[in-house]
Order: sequence, then structure tokens, then C-alpha cells
Amino acid sequence: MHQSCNFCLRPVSEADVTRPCLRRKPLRAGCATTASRPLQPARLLRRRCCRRRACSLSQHQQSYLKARRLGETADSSEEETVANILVISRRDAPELEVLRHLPRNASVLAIGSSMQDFSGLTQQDWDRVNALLSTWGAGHSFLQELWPRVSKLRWIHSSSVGVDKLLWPDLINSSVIVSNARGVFSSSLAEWALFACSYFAKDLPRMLAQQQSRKWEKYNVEELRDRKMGIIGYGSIGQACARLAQSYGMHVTAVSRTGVAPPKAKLPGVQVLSTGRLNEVMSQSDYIVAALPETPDTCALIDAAAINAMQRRAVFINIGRGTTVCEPALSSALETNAIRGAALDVFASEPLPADSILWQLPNVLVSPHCADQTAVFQHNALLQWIDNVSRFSRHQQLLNVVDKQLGY
Amino acid sequence: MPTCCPDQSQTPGRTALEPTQVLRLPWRGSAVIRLCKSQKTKASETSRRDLHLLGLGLSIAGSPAGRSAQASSRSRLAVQQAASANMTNILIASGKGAPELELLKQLPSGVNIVAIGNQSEEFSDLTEEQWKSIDAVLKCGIGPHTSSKALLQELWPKMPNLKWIHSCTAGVEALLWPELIESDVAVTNARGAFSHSLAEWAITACSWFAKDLPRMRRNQKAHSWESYEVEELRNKTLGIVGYGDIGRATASIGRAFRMKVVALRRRVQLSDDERKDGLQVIPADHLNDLMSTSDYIVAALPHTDGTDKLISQSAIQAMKKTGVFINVGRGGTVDEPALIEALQKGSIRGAGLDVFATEPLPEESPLWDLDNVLLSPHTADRTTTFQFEAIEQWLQQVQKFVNKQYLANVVDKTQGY
Repeated sequence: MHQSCNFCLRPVSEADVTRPCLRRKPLRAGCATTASRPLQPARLLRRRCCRRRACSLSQHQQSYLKARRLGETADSSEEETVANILVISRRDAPELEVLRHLPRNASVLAIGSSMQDFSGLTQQDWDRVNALLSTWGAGHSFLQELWPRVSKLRWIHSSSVGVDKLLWPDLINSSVIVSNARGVFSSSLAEWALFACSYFAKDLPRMLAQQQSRKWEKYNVEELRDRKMGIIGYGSIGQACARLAQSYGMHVTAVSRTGVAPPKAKLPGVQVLSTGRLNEVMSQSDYIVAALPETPDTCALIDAAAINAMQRRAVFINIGRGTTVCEPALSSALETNAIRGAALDVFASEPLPADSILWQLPNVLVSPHCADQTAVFQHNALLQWIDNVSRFSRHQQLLNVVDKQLGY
Repeated sequence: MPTCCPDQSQTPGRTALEPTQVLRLPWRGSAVIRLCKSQKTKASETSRRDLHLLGLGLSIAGSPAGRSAQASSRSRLAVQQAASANMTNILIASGKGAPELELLKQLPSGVNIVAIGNQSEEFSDLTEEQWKSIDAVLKCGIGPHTSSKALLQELWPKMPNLKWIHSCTAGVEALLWPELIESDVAVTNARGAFSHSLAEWAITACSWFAKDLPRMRRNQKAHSWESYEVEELRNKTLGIVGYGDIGRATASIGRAFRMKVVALRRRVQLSDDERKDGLQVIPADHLNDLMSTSDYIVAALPHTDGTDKLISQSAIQAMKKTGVFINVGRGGTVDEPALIEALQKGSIRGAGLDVFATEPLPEESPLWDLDNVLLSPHTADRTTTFQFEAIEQWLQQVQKFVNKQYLANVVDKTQGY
């Protein structure tokens, strides 16, 4: 079984698992907390386990936390884990040059995108693989092929944000940790979303039509200032949109699963509501930005009722996943001008079929899922992964760990 | 005669003004203040603020510089004394049907609108007494309600007691004429009222090119799903030529996008806030340095003698091949033929233009057809409420005028902005 401690990532057997006060995931003997919360050494040192007065942190825990606080490796007597990495990628991908920044205790066993590329690996090599990097484009079907061979796998990192194409039941139920590139693309997506708002506010369709017919005719434009933006999905991308929108003077309301702003993302002036109030937000916003991940819970979350609740002058922007919207209802609303317009970077089916009506509607901006595709976006994603490789080797908390049950 | 006011004998027809009530102080540039020796003490007592302004390093000329020098200084204060002791009388040069005029009901008490119109015949029935009573003129109205400079020039001799003209536009180059410039009449404008919408448009134009919208639109028209690389504005250099109200508003949004802001202006010293913001200032005579280092250049200059074709052919040639030029100021500040040539050749990436040398833009202009031009018919700030906001700003000025306070947005008539 792929069991590793969710605190320090070292292998853990059944006998080794402790019983902390709040049991959720397996913890190795001596480890104090779950992986879902960042360590706060000062607090932990005061913490008691199992409400027993005599309980206190072990020597191991104390030295580990002290070492983390000092930023050094825990237990100098304990060796770092060598990260033996399998990279799923096209071999000629330019971003792979970033691999030269890997720490010294990381080793890339093979790079490839098919079983043929890995045919040179011996059984010993397969048994050594403890980390896997899945780059842009790789889906779970290939990973499922590899799965039985990587018995010692402990960690998969995806260089995209959405892991909807990556997760499957065996992986979800295992203890393999999955992390993603959350945060890397948020800035470019937020820029695109605000541009899309301006596109309609300045009535660029009209301006471009006039330009084409050489018509000099003045018309009214709108400011984004003082307009209302509703953000559906308040993760890293949603928060980046909120920050930019506020710089324009927009009033921002967000909808999230929990209805509460994440602790690090408390932007003053942003009201965060739960998904139960989605239709309310849809009806009150002038510009709606959907930045939802694709999970079983978000499938068609923005349904026909939500779209019908939108104002006539409202604009819908989707930079999350196409399946989170009921696309037929959206197309219909756009065709009948029940809403002002839409700017879509993602679609239920990609590539967007050539006969989709969305291509030709004058009030729709169609972007082929490249709103974040800058020249260096994969480089940046891999640089973030390299940081995680260092953490993996030193048994530290990984960044951007995905909650496999929730799907993001 | 006390001389902390203009020498009235040289401007016939203007009322004599009490020295303690009138103190015109220059903003910058050459300045002349004459303090009457007999009144000096009184002047220094009455206004510490004036003395502070004197401390800005302005010369105090002992010799009479004459009417032209006085006229060439930039007024910070408006001349404030109503000819009539009780009422402030205002003439409005605008079409009567302008919707924003409904805000006139918010005028403070003590203010009387003498007449409204944008044709001279609409004022034909005013009596001489009414003409003499006029203290201020408001020039507003757009589209069919607009009024012309010619109208004001025609009415000018009839208003001997005129002290203040306010224009509901930011640019006043279409308003000033020599007699007005030479006179003591203060001119104020709507600076700041439209800056945010222009800044939004400028950043939109930057994003238009960064996200390669021309390509996206071509693909969309062809139903072609072809993903391509886009750019972020983050970490790109935003060069602002003309760091006035519009330039600063643009810089503010640019900073939110984490762009690096570089500004061209005459004053190179940074304020504390500017230093904190990381602003880089390039002196006004080093325009080509800004043009060559910026990825996105936003021109927000007024059109004056000093800025005519300031963005010259050599400045345009200094731009990067990936550079984008955006103009939200005035078309006359750019060498338009040189810009067109650069766009046609592809020696710059593109341009977003809201203003042109000639407006409406002639049909035969090549700018209409260029794929790398975003062309807006001078409507980047034309919101449904922008004239209302301009009038609201003017109402605040009227309150100050009535209360004999310093007016805001006083134009330096000789500088032209």
C-alpha cells in the first residue's frame, strides 16, 4: 500500500500509525499534525496530544519543528529522501530546461509521454520512483497505465491548475499526495477577465464595427468604476480578479463553497457568500466571472436558473472550466440578448465544435483556452514544482496540495 | 495706487479691485507680483498662504512688467468680486436642451442665471445692465448643444465685468483666444472629471494588444480553434507622456496590473508617495529614452504650442518593434503621418487612438484600415454621466466663487492647459 505520513511524507506502516486527537489521515509516530494545515511551530510546541496532561511533544517533534523554524533540514542525522522522479511530458518541451534547477538530491529517471518512452526503465528503476510530474496535457488514462508499476509512488504533481483530468478512484483513495500549479496562472487570467469586462464596457464590438465601415459616430461608453462584479469560485484565480477589479473601483461579491474567505485572502470590501446564494449574486452583478474548478459538485453549477437570473446588461466571463456552466442555456441567453454578452476562454467541449453558435454571435468573445498561455507559463509552473521537489526531499510541507475528495 | 492687483488703468473697462481682496499669484513659470510698498505690511498680514506661495522661488519684480507679463502668469486664484453686491450672475453658453442643465437647480442661493444659449440670437434681448452684471460664463454642452469659441468671442465685448470662464472640457485649446489670454479673466476647466474613464480605456487598449485580440477575432471569424501565446501586462513598462491627471490615473491602474511605470514630466523630483510607488521620472527633454524603453506608451498631453507634434517622427522611430502607442490626450501632439507610416511598416506593434489631428477622422485616412489600430471616435470618456459629473464639478467651483475662495483647476492661459 502506498502509505506515507501526511506530515513528513516518510513511509508509514500500519503499526506505525498514531492516533491523534483528530484523526483524519495516517500519521507516523511522532508527527503531530495533518498535512492540510501549515505548521506553526510556536503553537505546536504548546499543543497537547490526546488531552493527557503528561503528553508533550516528543524529542523528535521538537527538534523537527525547531529545524523547520530555522529553515534547515530536520534531524541532520536523518537522511533526506532522494526524489526519484518520472516526468510525463513531451521530450522536446522547452520548459524542461528548468530541470537543471532541480536540487542535488533529486533525480529524473525518465521523461516521456508514452509507455514506449519508458521502455528502458528496469524493474529497479520502477521501484525507485517516488514522485511523478505530470505536465500540461497529460491525462489520467496514461497515469492509470503507469499506476501498477510505480508501487512506491508517494507524490504526483500536475503543472496545471485543474486536476479534473488527472484524478481517478484508485488515486483518490490512495495516500499518494497530489499537488498542482495553483496561483501560477492567476495573474494572466485575471488580466484577461478584466479586459473582457472592459471589452463590453467600452462597447468594443460597436467601435470595431464602426472602424470597419469607416464611420465616425460618437456613442456612450461605460466605466467599470462603481460597477458590481460577482466572482463565482473564490480560489486563487477569483482572488486575483477581485484585486484587479477593486483597483478599477468595482464592488466585488464572491461565491465560494464554504461561504467564507480563505484566511490568506481577506480582501477588504469583498463580500463572500455561499453557493446557496448564487442566483442572488448572478442577479445583482453587472459582470460575472466564473473561476470554478471542474469537480462533481460544480458540474453545471451555473445552471439555466442562474443564467436567467442575470440582468439584461450583465456580462458573463468564464475562465475556470466549461462544464461548470450550462452551455445550452448560456448560448440561448446570448442569442436572444437576454444578457449583454459573454467572454469565454473555456467550453464544455474543447476544441469548440465548428458548428457551435458561440463562434458567430457578435456579443461573444471566444478564446481557445489560451488566456493564460504566456511564453513562460509552463516555465513558471515547473519552477514552482522545483520548490516542491526541495520540500519533498526535506520532508517538508508541500505547496498546493489538492484535496482529492473535493477535486481541487 | 495699491498694486497687488493688476494695473487697472491698462485694462480699460475692468472694475477697480480692492487690493486686499485680489491677490493673483502665479503657479509656476515666470511670475510677477507687485506689492505696493504702502500696502506690503497689510498684504503680508492678510495672507500667509500667499507668502508661502511666494516662497516657491518666484521672483518678485520691482519693475512693472506690464500687462503682457501679468497676463502671462498663471493664476491660481480667480478674481472674485461681484459687481453686484448680492448676486452672482452667470451666462451659460450651451444648448438649452442639454440634459445636464437640470443640475442647475442645485446652484447655491445668490446665484442667478442670466441667459442660456449656444447661438448669439438667443442673447439678443439682454439689456446692457444684464450684460454688465455677468460675472462668470459656463461653456458646456456636447453634440447639438455644443457652443463655439466664436460665440464667446462675439459676446466678449459685451461683458465688461466678466471675471471667470469655466469650460466643461479638460482641453481648452479650442477655447482660448488672444484677448482672453491677455485679459485677467480666469479660466478653469474640467480637469480630473474624465481621467478615470480615459485611464480605463488606455489600459484596455494595452490589453487589446497584449492578448492579441486582432488574432483572436480573426480566428473567431474563421471558427478556428487555434491557441496561441498571449502576453501579460504584469512586469511590462508603461511609459506615460504627460503626467497630469489622466496620466496619473492611468499609472494607478497600471500599477494594479503590476506594470512598471515611467513618466515624462518637467519636474524630476519625486514626492514621497511617488517614491513609494516606484515611479520613475524621465525629464521632459528625454522623450526618446521613454519611447525606447517602454512596452506600452500612453500619451495624455494637452495640445499647446509647446506640445504640438511633441511625439515626433524620431520619437516614434525610437519605439520598440513590440511597442504599442496609445493616445488619449490630443491628436495634435503626435506626428500623425509618421505614426501611420510606422504602423503600416510594422515598425511598432500597434496603436490605440481616441484622438486625431483632424476630427472627425477623414474617411481617406489609412488609420481606418490598419489591422493593428484600435480606433475610437473620441468617445473614450463619453459615459452617460460624464457631462453631469462635469457640471457637478462646476457647481463646486461656483460655491467657491460665491464664497470668495480659491478656485480649482485654474488654467494657465499662456501655457494652454
